[in-house]
Amino acid sequence: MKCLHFQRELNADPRHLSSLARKHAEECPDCARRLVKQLNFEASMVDSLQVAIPDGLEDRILLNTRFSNNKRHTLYAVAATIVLSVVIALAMPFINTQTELDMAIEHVLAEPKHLIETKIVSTEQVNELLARVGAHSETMLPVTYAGTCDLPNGKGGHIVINTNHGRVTLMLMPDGKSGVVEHKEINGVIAEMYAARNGNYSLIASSSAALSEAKSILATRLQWSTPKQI
Amino acid sequence: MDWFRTNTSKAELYETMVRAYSAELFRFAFWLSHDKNIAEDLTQETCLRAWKHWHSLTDIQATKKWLFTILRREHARLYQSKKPQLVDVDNEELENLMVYDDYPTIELNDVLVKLPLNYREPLLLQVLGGFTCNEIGEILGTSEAAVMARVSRARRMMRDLLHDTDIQREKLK
Repeated sequence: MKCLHFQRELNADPRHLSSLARKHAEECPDCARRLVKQLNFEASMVDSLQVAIPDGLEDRILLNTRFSNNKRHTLYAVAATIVLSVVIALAMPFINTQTELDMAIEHVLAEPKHLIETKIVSTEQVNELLARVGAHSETMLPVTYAGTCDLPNGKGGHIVINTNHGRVTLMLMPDGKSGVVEHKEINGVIAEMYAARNGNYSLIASSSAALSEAKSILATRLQWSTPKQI
Repeated sequence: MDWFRTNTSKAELYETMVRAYSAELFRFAFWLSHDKNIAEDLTQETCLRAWKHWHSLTDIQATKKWLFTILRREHARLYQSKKPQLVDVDNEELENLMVYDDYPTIELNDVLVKLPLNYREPLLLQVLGGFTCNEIGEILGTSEAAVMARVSRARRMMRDLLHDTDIQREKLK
């Protein structure tokens, strides 16, 4: 190797000299001096580039990485929560677990005064309410109260029938959707719901005997525009 | 459960990598940007990208080269999107940053930052990173011969600039 080639190599990468260059430096005193000078210069340069590293840099990097992962997962969780909330909000009207019979019971329990008061009620008044569900009565029912009421599913009729076993409430729900016969015993009351010509109706009593008697009264005295089985 | 901890082997390797190379990455970033805040941001971003793209590291032996490549790209990206307003580090601040803060060091640094980026970059990779010309070529996406030419030129420029400084100093005496 010639000195010129050595100098080129030395200038290009003094720390990774080829074996030929190293051999040349061993044999050529001038190039050996050049090598020492260059390596000193390199050492000075390395020293001059040693800037102080900010305290806690490594920890901040690791923390940042961890935070970045958590942030991504948190974002996924937030997105999932939002989607789930929207789905639940949209589905709420369809997943309401309160049945129309529950509504009727709730209404009766909320207005207990109608079970104790006695009003003079005409057959016309009763028939006007019964007509809402597609029924009428030719003979006078033993009614102690009759009136309209507001229910969650629309305007309804509220009739209280006197039986030998106590008073029974007949709730008329012309806007009722349920056509399924339902039986429920809850909060000390026994109740049943049936499909009507329009909507449905429920009987709410304090005993099964009272309920049976009320059912019997309705079966014998009510007529339906389209006959309904009670 | 901490997601980071469930990826134990990956997390452990990553932590080792951060502890091994973050200082070198910071120094490289500092001498590229000449700004300690940008340098820290670049180092952070480099490590974060390394974590996210860990799967693309096929050769664990080449981790250091891979990291320097990422940092260089991040630096280039920074200058592509917007040139940050750099505050010139004055000598006093620079001295505070230096481990070896004698006058010749400052002089060398002054000369180094005067080098154009395309000369400074391969020289820093060689002096700071300890990479060979071949490895630098891979990092910069150029040939080994081109790297050799650029670092040789960089050294000559440094020598010339230092020589000019010496002459100026002699004139002042």
